[in-house]
This record gives sequence, structure tokens and C-alpha cells, in this order.
Amino acid sequence: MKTVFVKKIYIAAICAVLAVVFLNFYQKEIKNGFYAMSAPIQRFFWQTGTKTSDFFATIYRIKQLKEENERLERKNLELLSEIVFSEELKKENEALRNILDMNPRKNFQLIPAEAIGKDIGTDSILINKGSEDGVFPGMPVITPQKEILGKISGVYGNFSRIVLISNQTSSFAVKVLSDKDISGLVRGKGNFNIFLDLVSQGSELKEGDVLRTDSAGGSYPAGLLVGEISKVKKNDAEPFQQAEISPFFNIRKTDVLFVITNFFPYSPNE
Amino acid sequence: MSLNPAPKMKFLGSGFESWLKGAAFVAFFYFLAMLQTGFLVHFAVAPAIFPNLILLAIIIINFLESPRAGKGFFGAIFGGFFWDIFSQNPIGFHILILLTLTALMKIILRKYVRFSSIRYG
Repeated sequence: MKTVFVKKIYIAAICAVLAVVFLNFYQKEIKNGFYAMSAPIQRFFWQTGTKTSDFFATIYRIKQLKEENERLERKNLELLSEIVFSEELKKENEALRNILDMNPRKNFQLIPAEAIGKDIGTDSILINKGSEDGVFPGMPVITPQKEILGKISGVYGNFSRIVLISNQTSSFAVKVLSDKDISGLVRGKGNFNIFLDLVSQGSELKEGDVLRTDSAGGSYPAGLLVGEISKVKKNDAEPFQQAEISPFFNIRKTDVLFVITNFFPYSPNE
Repeated sequence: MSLNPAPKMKFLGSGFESWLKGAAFVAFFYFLAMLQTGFLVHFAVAPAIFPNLILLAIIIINFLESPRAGKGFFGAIFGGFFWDIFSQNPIGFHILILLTLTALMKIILRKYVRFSSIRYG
């Protein structure tokens, strides 16, 4: 009796191993099929979740809304004046490029996509564009406001997975958006958190400094908005400064995303 | 003195009813995965802590059923399968983890822990 039982266990185990091997051999097709089947339901849950969380967030933050409104109005006015200054600089830049006969700056080629779900347990999301739409691994993904979200890590037929910048495996070079030449490395901490590392001790970081991507490292194109420094951690015993960052991207308010298709990340093997 | 043989581990019964129960079980875990990946992303239990419904469901099922019953294993297989489908991991990764967790819980509940307030069917 015991031998028969043990035999059954062995057969079940072998069948299980074969099933797992088979499933992993066709993993991409199986996952693509499930995502295609689940996309309408996931999209419904995602949109319902966004609306519900906005509703509760509004109630929770009613007191702070007035102060935030005033702060944003002030910031808006500051930014308007910066826009005017930037427009002048842009015209000057174009004129100089023409004089020096330099190539014009390329605009990004973008594919619009929608977020339909988040992976369980990791900072990655699923979008509804895949290899059939011209998406390839390594392509950066941004919001309409040119805030960096992450990059494509896995591609299926009609869906792709984006590793967010807050994923613990993510790191990329950034610069502080100011006249000071301060650069560092942003690393993901998980749970939508990121922090700034490898900033030299001599640099003057302050709360509110805005970070943008840097082309050094080659992961992302330069100039995309990353976040704002919320807390500086300076310890003279450490070789580098660190800072906590409030990222600009908000996964809960991400309806439309754009995949940049004409940027190719640097690969050390090339 | 008579020796009663150990009762056989029960799964979902037999016949059409068991297929129906099985299908409902699979649909339940599929629904949990949809809820987890689509709806609960927008809510955190505490700052940056998001609940894992599949793991919670497996633990609760194992606590509430008899240590000799098999629904926990069934749940671990399908809960782990949907967890792997909606993540970057290869299929089988979380199935193995949840099966191991279920087996450990069953051993502990059978040999070392008994809840007097829970009566198993």
C-alpha cells in the first residue's frame, strides 16, 4: 500500500515538473493570452480604483487643499516667467545651431499606451502595447508631462511590462535642475520610493531642488523630470550625500503613458 | 484495542459538484489577482504597504480547514499560478513557495497547534 502511495507521489511530482517546464517554455504566449483576457477587467478595476482613491484622498486632504492651492498658484506664476525666459533661450539656441550648421534636435517618437495593472509584490506595471506595436525592451516610458516613469523590461505580443524607477533594481544618473553642476544617482527603494545617492559632500543640495535625467549612463534621454528633493541626508562620516526624493510620477493618476521608441539605451557590450 | 487507519486526505469530493467547486476556487483566486493588480494598487494599508490578498487567502484557508483536508494545496497551486502570471517571475516560482508554506502550516496545525473554537467538517 505504502509503495503504491509513494509511486503515486513520484508520478505526481514528475507530472508537476513537466507541466512547469512546459508552461515556462511557452511562458510569453501564456502570459500574453492571460493579459489579453484580463485587460478589460483590469482596466475597469484600475479606473475604479483611481476614482475611489481620489474621492477618499479629497476628503482626507480638504484642510490641506487650500494651502496647496495657494502654493501651486505661486509656483505657477514663477514657472510662467521661467517659460518666457526659456523661450528666449530656445530661439537663441536654434539660431546658433543654424549658424554653426548643427543638426536639429530630434523630437521623441512616442507610442501612447495605457497602464492596466501592477505586478504583485514588485514595482512594475503592465501596459497594453507590445511587440506588435513596435515596443522593445529598454525603451523609456514617460508621462504626458515628460516625467520619467521607467523602462520596458519584458515584451509580449500585445502587452509590455515597465520596471518603474522606484523598482529596487533601477538606478540611473540625474542632475539637479539649477545653475549648479550637481549630479548623482537615483536608486529605487521599492513601494514607489526613490532616493538620491553618490552626490559629493561638497555639493549644496536643498529641499525643493528638482532632478532631471542625465544622459550619462545611457539608460534614459537627458532632460526628463524625475522628482523633487524632500529631505537631504548629509553625514560627514560618509563619502557621499544622500537625499530622499518625492517622485513626480504618480501611478494612481497615470492614465496615458508614452513609450519613447527612438531612444536606444547604451549597452556596454556594443 | 483497535487501530483506526488515518483518514485519507480529502480534496473537493467527487463528481460534477467537485468540478464546480474547483472551478469556483480557480475563479476566486483569479478574481483576487485582478483585484490586487488593478484596484488595490491605489490603496495602501500603511504608508507603502500593500496587502497581498492571495497570500492572505491561502493562510486563512489553511487555518480554517482541517489539517488533513486538501483545499489549501489546491489554493496554493492556483493562487501561485495567478501570482506568477501577473508578475515577472517564471511560472512555478510562487506555486512552489505557496505549496511549501501550505505543507508547513498543515504539519504545524496537525502536530502542534489546535484551535478549540474551530470545528473541522
